[in-house]
Amino acid sequence: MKMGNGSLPELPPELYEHIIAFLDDRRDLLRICLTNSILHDLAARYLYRRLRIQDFRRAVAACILLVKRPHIAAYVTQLEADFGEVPDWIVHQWPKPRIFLNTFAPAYCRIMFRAFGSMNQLEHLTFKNTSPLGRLPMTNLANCTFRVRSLTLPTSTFEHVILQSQPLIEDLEVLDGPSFSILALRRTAIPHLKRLAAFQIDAKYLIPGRPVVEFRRLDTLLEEHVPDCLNTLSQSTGPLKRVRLLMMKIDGLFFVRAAAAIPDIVDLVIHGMGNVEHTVSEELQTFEVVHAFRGFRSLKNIEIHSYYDGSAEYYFPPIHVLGRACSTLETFTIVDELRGNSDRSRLPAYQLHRELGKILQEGELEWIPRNGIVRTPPSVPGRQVTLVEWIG
Amino acid sequence: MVTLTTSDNETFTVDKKVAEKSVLIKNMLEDVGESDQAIPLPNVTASVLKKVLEWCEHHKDDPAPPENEDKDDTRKRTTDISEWDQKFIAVDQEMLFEIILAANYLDIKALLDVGCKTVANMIKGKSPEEIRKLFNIVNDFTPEEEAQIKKENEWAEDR
Repeated sequence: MKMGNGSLPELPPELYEHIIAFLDDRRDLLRICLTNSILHDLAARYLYRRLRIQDFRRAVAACILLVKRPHIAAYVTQLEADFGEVPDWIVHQWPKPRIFLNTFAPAYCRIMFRAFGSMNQLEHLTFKNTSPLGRLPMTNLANCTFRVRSLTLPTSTFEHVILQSQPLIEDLEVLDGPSFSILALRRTAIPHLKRLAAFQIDAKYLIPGRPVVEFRRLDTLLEEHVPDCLNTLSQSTGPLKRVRLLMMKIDGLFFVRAAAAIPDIVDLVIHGMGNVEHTVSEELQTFEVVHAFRGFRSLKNIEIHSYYDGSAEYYFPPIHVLGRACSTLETFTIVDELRGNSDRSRLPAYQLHRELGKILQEGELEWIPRNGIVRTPPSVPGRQVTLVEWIG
Repeated sequence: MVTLTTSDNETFTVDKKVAEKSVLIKNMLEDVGESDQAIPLPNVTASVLKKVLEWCEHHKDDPAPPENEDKDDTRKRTTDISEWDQKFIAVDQEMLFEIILAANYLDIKALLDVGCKTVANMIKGKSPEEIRKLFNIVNDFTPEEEAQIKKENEWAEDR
């Protein structure tokens, strides 16, 4: 590398690269690209690794660059394309959407997908707001040659043909489901699916027979649909290890059913709209629920997020009883999402441990033999209310 | 104990455990076996080695780093330098680069990361001209080339 005057030691290129690898901000990386040709070549790799295409003018500029310089396109491993912002001047040129869709939009998509086509290292693909372009992104994507491992799509683009053309997918997120094309999905499509975020209606077709280990349900789970949902989850060949659900009401029966349907679960995260306090303090104590906990073979963490806005002053998870029933259980966490400082003042600043009758001061950590640690109510909203850990 | 000789012919005698923070020295000791002979380190001066050994001494009980660390993962932890390391690495720039070179030569990955993260933090927010000054490198772009890179990457700028 060309040196100026001075006594500074010269670093070999691999050390420059080591330094550059620690930089995350695109602006920093771009400024390094502008210093010198050698640093340019080193930093470009990191500058283009994660590509976000957002507004229309920049999208075209980026795509033209990538078409002209396919070696740069080969650096891209992560692409996020937001098609949402078609500027006014284009829309006014084509007052009728049909004309826009038949003239400008196909040309735009051609440029975009030609650029995407050179990304032979692409692993993660996210499409957002494809609706201005109708079905064009979908048809173009189905004809693409790249094979990605993770895919995030809005429902309008989410078609069975795409999933059938991408056999390597491990992560899939269907943003605003449900999709009507999913019914036609072949049972052999995306055989490696590991992580899924979707609506139940899509999950029903995507989970059975596939090694899904993580599922994030995007729609609210109503009480009457619990058996249906758990039935879907039980059909993963994963087996399923992590689940996140948004539920109207969590009751003791849910845990009884879950222990039977997904006994290999490790992390169970539930966002509850109903009276979580009652569930935690009363229903989890019942013989039926405690007995069911014996069915969980590897359950480690239960995390319940409460959005209940009624009065909820105490949480008494029957930690010692559950811990005895399920020996793998390590933490039981309750996050009170609504109660912040303003509400806190109306709550008593202490929590009574039911077993020992001992009053804990706010923020105090108390070690209770065999039962674990109980943390008193939080001072900051969204923090953990009660955290219980078993040690050893 | 292990004896090390620097490029300027100074010898350092250190605990084997401390010296073995360097994969280079560790491999050499394994190859040579038990021996009283000093290990020559022709690429490291005494002032730099002293500093490097100070780091090794402090970190001698750290657990070995995991082998296959995900590169993406390490990238996110740029500013994540421990307080002791931050104080240790607060040296003039020449010494900083010498430490990085020595850590690279001696194959001490954790120290190399500390050095490189420090330089990465120094780069943050600096203009191309300031970065050139930092690395003591000259601009070999023509004004046209520079303008072209700027133009091509306009879309990257404000993120």
